[in-house]
Order: sequence, then structure tokens, then C-alpha cells
Amino acid sequence: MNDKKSKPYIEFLNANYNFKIIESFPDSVKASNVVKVVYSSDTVEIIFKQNGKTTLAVLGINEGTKAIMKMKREIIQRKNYEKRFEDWECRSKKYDEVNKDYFDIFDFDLQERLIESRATEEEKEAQENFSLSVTTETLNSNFNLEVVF
Amino acid sequence: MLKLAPNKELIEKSAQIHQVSLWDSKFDFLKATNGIRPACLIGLMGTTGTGKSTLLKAVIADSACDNRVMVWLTEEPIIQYVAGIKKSKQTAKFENILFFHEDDLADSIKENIDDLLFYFFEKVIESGAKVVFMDNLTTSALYASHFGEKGQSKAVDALKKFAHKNKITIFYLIHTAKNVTDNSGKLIMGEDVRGSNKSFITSDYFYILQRFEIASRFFTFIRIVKHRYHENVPNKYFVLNFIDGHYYSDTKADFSMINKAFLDRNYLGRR
Repeated sequence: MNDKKSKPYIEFLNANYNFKIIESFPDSVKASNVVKVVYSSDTVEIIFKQNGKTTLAVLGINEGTKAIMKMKREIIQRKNYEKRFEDWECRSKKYDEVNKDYFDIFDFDLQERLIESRATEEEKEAQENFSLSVTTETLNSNFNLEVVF
Repeated sequence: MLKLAPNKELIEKSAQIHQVSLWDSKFDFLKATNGIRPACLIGLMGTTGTGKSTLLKAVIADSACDNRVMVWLTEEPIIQYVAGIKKSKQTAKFENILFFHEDDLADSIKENIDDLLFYFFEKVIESGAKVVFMDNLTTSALYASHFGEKGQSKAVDALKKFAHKNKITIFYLIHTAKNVTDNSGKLIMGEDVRGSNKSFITSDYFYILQRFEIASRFFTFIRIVKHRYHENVPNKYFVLNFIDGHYYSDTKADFSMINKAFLDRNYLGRR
């Protein structure tokens, strides 16, 4: 990050917020430790919790993107595909007409899209078959019918 | 676990699948193959200055009427692009168009093709768009010279796989090779593409723009050179109607018209 720009901004954050502010991203931070990511035109800000402390990392675009990519790769490798997302990934901005300001919401559509795109073909097929078998069982138990495909 | 065997309904459905279109278009060259189809890799090639971007802007303005699209830019600034789209359609719905410019990409991402592809796919998924327009692939970081032809080929393969897996259409523009000109006396072919010809080989649909002079007037033809899911396309040649700096429609043409263009060509004195 550009030093000229960063110093007054860091000072402003230090004066106004009650959490630790750092200018590099520790390797030890995992995707599940991250609380929120804020993108701006020349910074990526990552708020994370480590050892019970809330920390804000103010990073340049290069370093910030690298850190995010590393965490996204970590998320994709999770064994349970339904857990292949984090809350901070599924946030989107909405405009509040009353307060005339933007606010953050958890985006369920994005969550769904991420899970689906990160599942392998076999996992997708297994999930499809599972829901199909549940439907068949429900039909059988409720109406005592036999469904033949 | 139950497994679905292809039943009668499914077989009937797959028989109709060639008629499936994602969005209709005002352009006949897209209508001929049922508009923009889902999960496809679509290429549009032409020499520099033929009007590839101008045509794409008109297609984007059209597509964004009812659906969310993403525009991935590599050269032209977003503000210029918006102006171009607005010019081709005053009522274009910009709330449905998400722009991304490669200038905003971190340099660390551009160094590695895998990182770059991963980033691209994540951005597309996050956007929620069903069609991604790339203007253009030749100047994109995906086609950067340090990746070489192998890298280009890998990028195209990955784009295709992504398109199929996530049912997202990628509509990209690409330049012709350096020595290819409009008035060289031959039709530009898919193999004349710049860089790896994998882009032409793997594309599901491929269109070529070529400009001719007939009776001292310039005509831009668009040809459908590849249509993977259509056995017969009734007309493969279209003339684009250009007015006031944008393409507003196209009309069917036949080969004799293009042939005439060859015979009449005189402005470069190449006969």
C-alpha cells in the first residue's frame, strides 16, 4: 500500500476504533478467523479474530488479493462441500432508500452459487440422488405408494 | 441410491434441446442459432477496426434487458464502454450490467495463469451473471505473452470447462493474426485467429466479421463459421447495418454478395 496514503488513514482508524491495526497479513490466519472483508479502490481491509482479539489488516490491492485468494483456495479444499463458503464471502451491498446509504447483507444466492460451483460433479450427482431418494421415501411413507423410475 | 435412467420424457427433452436459447436477440446472426445459448463458449473474430467492440456493445445492450450480464474489459475504459452501450441503445439497463476492468487486477494475480483463472471464475460466480462478455481475449492477461501458446490453450480449455460446469456463457472477442487483412482476396477463416487456434477449435459458436467495399461503399459481413448444436443453419452470411456510429440490425445476405465484393474490390488496388 502507498505509504503516503496509508499513514493518515491508519492514524484515523487508530484514533476512532478500538481494535489492533496491522499493515500485513499473518500467514497463520485461517479463512474461518475472518469476520469481514472490505474492498476499496486502493486497499483491501480484512477484519479477523485471533486469540480472542479483533484485528484489522489494512492491505494494498496486491497483498490483499493474494491473502483472499489463499483463503479461498483453503475453503475450496474442505471435505464437506456444504461448508465450502464463509460468511465474509457471501456479503453484498444494498442501498437503503430510507437512510440513503449502503448497507451490508448476507447474500444467500451468492452462498448457493459458491457451494454449487465448488462442488465436484460426483458431489452434485450424489446430492441430486439424495434429494430424489428423500422425496421417494416421503412419498412412500406418506401415501404408501411405490414410485418406480 | 436411486439413479435416473433416461426415460421417455428425458429423451424427448434432449431432442428439443437444440431449440433452447438463453436470450433472443434483435440480430439475425444470433437468431439463426436460437440467440445466445446457455453454457457455451462463443467467439467473435475480426481484423482491427472492423467493429467487433461496436457490435458487442449492441449485443450487450440487448442482452441486459432482462438478465444480469458481466462485462470483462481489458483495454477500453469502463466509462467509454458505457457511453458506447448507451449509444447503441438509449434504454439499456445498466443495473443489469456488471463491469470489471483488468486494470483493477493485482499484479500478483497476473503472474500466474492458475491464479488468474481462479480469480476470473470467482468474480463471475460472485457477480451472478449468466453471460460474460470479454472484450477482448487477445489483449487479456489470460493471453499474456509470457504464458506462451500453451498458457493460452490452457486458458481457453479452462474457460470452456467453467462454462459447461456452471452453465455460464462466455462470449469473447478475439483478433485475427497479424498478416490477415479484410481485402486480401480471401475469406478470413477460423484458423486465422491470433495466438493459439484452440480458441476456435473449442468454441461452440464462432462468428467472423469481415469488411468489404462494394461500389465505393463499405459493408461489414458477419459469417457463422461454427455452430456446434445446429446441423443446418439456413443462412450463414449477414450484412450489418451501421448507422450513426453503431450497429442497429443485420440482414441476411448470400454468398454472391460477398463474391461480388471480391470482384469489385478496388480501393487498395489489389486486383
